[in-house]
Amino acid sequence: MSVVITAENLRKQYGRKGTLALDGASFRVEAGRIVGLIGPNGAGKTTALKAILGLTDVDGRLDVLGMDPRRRRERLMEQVSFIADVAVLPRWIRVREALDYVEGVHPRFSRATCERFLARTEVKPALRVRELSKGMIAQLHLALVMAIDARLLVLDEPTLGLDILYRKQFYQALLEDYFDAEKTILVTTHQVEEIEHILTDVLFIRHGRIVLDSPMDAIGGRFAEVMVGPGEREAALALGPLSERQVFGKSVFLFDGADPARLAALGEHRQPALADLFVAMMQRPETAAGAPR
Amino acid sequence: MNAFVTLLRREYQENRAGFLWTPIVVGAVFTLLTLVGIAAAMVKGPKAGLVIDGVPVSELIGRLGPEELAKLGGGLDVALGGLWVLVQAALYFVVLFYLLGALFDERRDRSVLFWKSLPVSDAKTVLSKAASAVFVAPLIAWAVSVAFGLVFLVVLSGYALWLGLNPVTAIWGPASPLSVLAATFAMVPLTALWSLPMVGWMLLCSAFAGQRPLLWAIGLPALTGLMLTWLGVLRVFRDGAEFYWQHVFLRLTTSILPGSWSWFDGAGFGIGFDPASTSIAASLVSAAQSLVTNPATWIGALVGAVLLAASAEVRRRLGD
Repeated sequence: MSVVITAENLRKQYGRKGTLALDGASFRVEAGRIVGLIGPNGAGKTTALKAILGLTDVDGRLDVLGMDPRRRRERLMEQVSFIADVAVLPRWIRVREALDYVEGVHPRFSRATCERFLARTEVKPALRVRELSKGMIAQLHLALVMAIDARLLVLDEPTLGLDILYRKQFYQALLEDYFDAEKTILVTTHQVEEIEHILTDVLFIRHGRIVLDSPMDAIGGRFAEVMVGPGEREAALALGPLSERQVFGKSVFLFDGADPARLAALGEHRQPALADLFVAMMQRPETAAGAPR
Repeated sequence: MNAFVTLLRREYQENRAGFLWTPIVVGAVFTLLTLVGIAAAMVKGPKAGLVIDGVPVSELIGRLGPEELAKLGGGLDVALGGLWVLVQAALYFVVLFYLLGALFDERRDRSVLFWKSLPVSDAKTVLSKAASAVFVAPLIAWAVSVAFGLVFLVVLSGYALWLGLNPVTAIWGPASPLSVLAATFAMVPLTALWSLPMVGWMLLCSAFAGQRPLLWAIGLPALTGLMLTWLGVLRVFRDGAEFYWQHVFLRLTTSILPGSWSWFDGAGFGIGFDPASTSIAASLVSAAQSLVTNPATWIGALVGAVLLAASAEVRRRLGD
């Protein structure tokens, strides 16, 4: 499996005494994966994406498709597409002109494909972006990007401010009409529940460090959630849970790497939702964080 | 299609109002004023069949000597040149504000993230904006001037016909529209060369200013000049203050005006439209000569290139 992104010990400080946006983040992204980069506000998600896209300089080793993104951004962008969020298409441009432009500057853009995607929407060629609704702008941007035969697609909060119908359509279109074994998608979003089912891998980032780096199908083998009554609470705490929360008078414990046999004794256990796992990992004391795997 | 042409077309599409419609409006106003003038002349001026000193108006042109014909033609050329000057004055503001917005607006509306998601280098982007300012906008303005110049001559021909004159001998013969057309066209590359420091400076301000690039672009060199004058630093050199205002301040803020290189060498306004003395071709040659022989042209071009490179670098780093 070829590696698309290799990041080693990325560091980025804003200002001389400013906060560390990236504090030694290391990760690898392989081809043909859909990776969710998930972290709270200010965790360094956007800085990491900007570094990958060559939009900001960082310390450390960074390799994207065999290139150093800090040099020759324009060459990298022949292989990499990105959507920053829905509000970045220039408002004065007409849909037709946007297609003309991308066609003129991008060697891997297929106008026919783009027009086919747009034909399914209400987006008309003569309209200006400022005349489109937010959802239609997202459809246009997605159509432009999906018509580019890129190897890596980076999405930074691509559905921010869209209603649920557009959000569903957005990810559905990506999965059905774009994603294949040759392509890799790296996505950040706050709406974890909505992308959970399409991710193949997940990266949790906290205070500029990667605190979880795991394939989705390994999550179930490592993390487990058990709901126990007040009687078994002490026994559960003895197993060293990651977190505890209360639901209808019972305690829900989240375990990392606990023995399945001992969990079975407590009650029925299941794979935690990504959002619950995220909350648990982000609320752990800082010292316990940092060591993935 | 060639990627650079795509970039130029994108600049045009965003700035059609300034690049195309502004010169058209100026030309239309000029035409309107011409029509009003002619209408007034038709009401109050000489009528067809009028006899002046025993000569019918219709035969007037035939009796003019070569010198008088040249004066008539020169007058027509001055009118054509006047149209061009008006368009250029409007173009100055169009290009000034275009440059100040070129790298500023894309940051303000965050569309820079879209432009940067495509395989176009920052250097190429900056070059496309500079080329739009010195070639695309001026060439469109030139074409519009030519079109309205033709309209002007046609309108005058109509008036000549109404007077009973033959427009070919009264208008098209004496006037030299082709020379005006060629000379004003030739001014485009000459002005482009001279204006590089202004273009670079405006783009740099556009790239780094957090707010109000105009304030930086005009205010910084003006304040610098005032400070230097006040502190007396410039008095160390002979004519230091004059040198600063002329070669730094005016060069950075006005050099996209065609012929502005000859403001200070006594040669007049680039192409002299003095009908009696010199031909248009001769004034063009002298304008070109005073440009390329002036060391300020080449030093400025170098400074302009450095400023353009700096603009590209500032745009490249703006993710930080």
